[in-house]
Amino acid sequence: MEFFATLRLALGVASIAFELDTPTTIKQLVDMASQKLGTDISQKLFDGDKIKRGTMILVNGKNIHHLNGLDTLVEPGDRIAVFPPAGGG
Amino acid sequence: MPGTYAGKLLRINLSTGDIKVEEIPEEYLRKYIGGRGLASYYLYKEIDPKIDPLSPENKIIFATGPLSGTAAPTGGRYMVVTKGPLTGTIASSNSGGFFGAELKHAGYDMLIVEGKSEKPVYIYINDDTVEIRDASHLWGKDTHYTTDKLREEVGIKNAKVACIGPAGENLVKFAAVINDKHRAAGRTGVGAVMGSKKLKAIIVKGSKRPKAASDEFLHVIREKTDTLRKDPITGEGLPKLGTKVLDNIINQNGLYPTRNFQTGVFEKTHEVSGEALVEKGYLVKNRACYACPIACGRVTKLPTGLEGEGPEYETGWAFGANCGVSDLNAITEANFLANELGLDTISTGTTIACAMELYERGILPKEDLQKGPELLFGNSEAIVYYTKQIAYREGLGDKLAEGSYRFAESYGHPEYSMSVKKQELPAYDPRGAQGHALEYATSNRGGCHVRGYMISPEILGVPEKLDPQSLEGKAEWVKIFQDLTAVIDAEGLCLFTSFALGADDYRDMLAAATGWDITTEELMKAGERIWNLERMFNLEAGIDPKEDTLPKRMLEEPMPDGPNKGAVVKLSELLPKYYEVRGWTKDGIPTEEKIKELGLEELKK
Repeated sequence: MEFFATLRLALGVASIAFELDTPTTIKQLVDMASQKLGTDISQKLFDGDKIKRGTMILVNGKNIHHLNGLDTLVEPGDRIAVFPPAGGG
Repeated sequence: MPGTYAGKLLRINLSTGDIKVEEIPEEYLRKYIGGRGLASYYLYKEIDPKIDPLSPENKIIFATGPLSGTAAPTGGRYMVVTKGPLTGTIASSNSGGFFGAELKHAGYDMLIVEGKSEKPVYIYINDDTVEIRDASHLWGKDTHYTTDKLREEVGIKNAKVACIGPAGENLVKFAAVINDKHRAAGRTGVGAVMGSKKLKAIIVKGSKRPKAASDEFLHVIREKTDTLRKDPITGEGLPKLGTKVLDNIINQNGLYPTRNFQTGVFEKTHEVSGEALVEKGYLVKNRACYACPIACGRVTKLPTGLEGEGPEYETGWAFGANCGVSDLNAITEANFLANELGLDTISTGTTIACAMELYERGILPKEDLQKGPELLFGNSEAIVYYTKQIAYREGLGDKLAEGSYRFAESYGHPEYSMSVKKQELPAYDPRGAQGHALEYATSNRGGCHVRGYMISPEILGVPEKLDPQSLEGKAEWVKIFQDLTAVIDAEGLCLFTSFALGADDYRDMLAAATGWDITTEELMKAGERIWNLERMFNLEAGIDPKEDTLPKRMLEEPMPDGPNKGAVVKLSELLPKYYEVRGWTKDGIPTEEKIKELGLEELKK
């Protein structure tokens, strides 16, 4: 799982890896990441059960909005990219 | 005069030396708002769209909006509107900084420059004192020297300067107008039009603050400023990382154009991203334009000692991934050079990228490089060297200065130019976002991302997340984004405000500034009017609707790898729907009914 933009600057961590034995959802994976990092990143990314407006979570480059949302299942070898709301031009 | 308008325009003829001040009828203001809208109306009314853009018959208009120079958030924007030499379309280039606000403070909504001077001149404006002055001693000088020298000469340290560098003087087809040293009305070659008129610079000092129609204005802008400050994009992401926050986002989403748009994933993005600019310690601080709470500008210092502003996202990409270059030092140096020499960075980088592809394919022979560095993707020396060559039209730079389309065409392969209507595409591969692709194809000033930034909903998820590969509803979205952008450009605000604000917010600010009882619907209609007016200008200029297309690569070559592997742009499905949504004929021409509905009959020639 890779972190970008202000999230990366705030965490001071660019990426973490997980070893998965069972099928895991994005929601579970974010909880696992929070535990590993010792900081609750789900607060930064979610409003309850929803992804915050503009927050972007990609599984192999595909936005989970167009997959199965927070229930999207992650498989070994998948690359997860996490971005807080961002814009430019 | 309603509220924050100056109500006057300044008209200067460089052939005759005439200087006039004219009233602007309120009817035009309400119909075209200001900035891009009002200036496009005057340009269309006053010139024959068929003229040569670099002839004395062309006019160049510097236009502010009703919110320029006020305390409205980002109210420092102005537009440069003229017929563009790169595309042959109407050209309107937007810039921030402080120049636009100062022009308004001098008491003018617009400055219209006509004719052509025999010798180099600059225009001096200090409120009601306006003079055309000799600029022979500045000809050939870069934009930084020119700015400092002019301020020193007129003895006003904080006067604001918009000028051209050697690129504009040498009629480089994508020369920029640079104001406040680091801000560019970058695109469409507006700097070459100044150069063709022998107009080196405009220096302005103003003391008249626009006065809003009611005290309600202060309350309204405080509320909108607060919204911008609290928004995660305009209040946190853009201030901290600038526009370069996008490098990783667009790359991870697989539409980061790499090596002249041959693919959408750049393997060295981590070395050139906005995060890298911070982590490598190149970023000194951020800098805001006039009245801007966002402050996306980057002040940077390189390990080599070079200091300047930038790179922002487009520039970093154009000289970086698009040229296969991952040396952030060289990219930033090329950026500084482009600002000093007065070049549009997107077209400069993308034209060099096109030359690199032609060279690697053996189409551009080595002898044509005239001992310049090899045009190989990844060669950081080349981006700095050819940027200079282009500005001075030296060696191969003379041909490159014509832009990628004319350059590739001269070698018999225009298909390697990544452009629309001869203007180079910016930093989003259209195969990765179908709506954005449609916006590129239909933009009134050629390949451009800031005429309707569909990346916002399709990739960034603002105001809501759309599937970038779906065609559903995209024509409607593109129309709304194009019309709303025209409104923002007309009011004199920055497009970045639209990450946090919506159409109602722009209505609120305009209504409070002018005292008009204006609805959001009327405002959006004005945006549609501006869009159609520009389209009518282009049709009359001889731009065939068949040019509403994209480079063949985007339509026929599937994306080779990354998340969008296999994708092409489905333009043949999108375009007919777009024409229908616009109320145009199936051939892309505004119907009589549409022209009447928008009140544009008087302009139909």
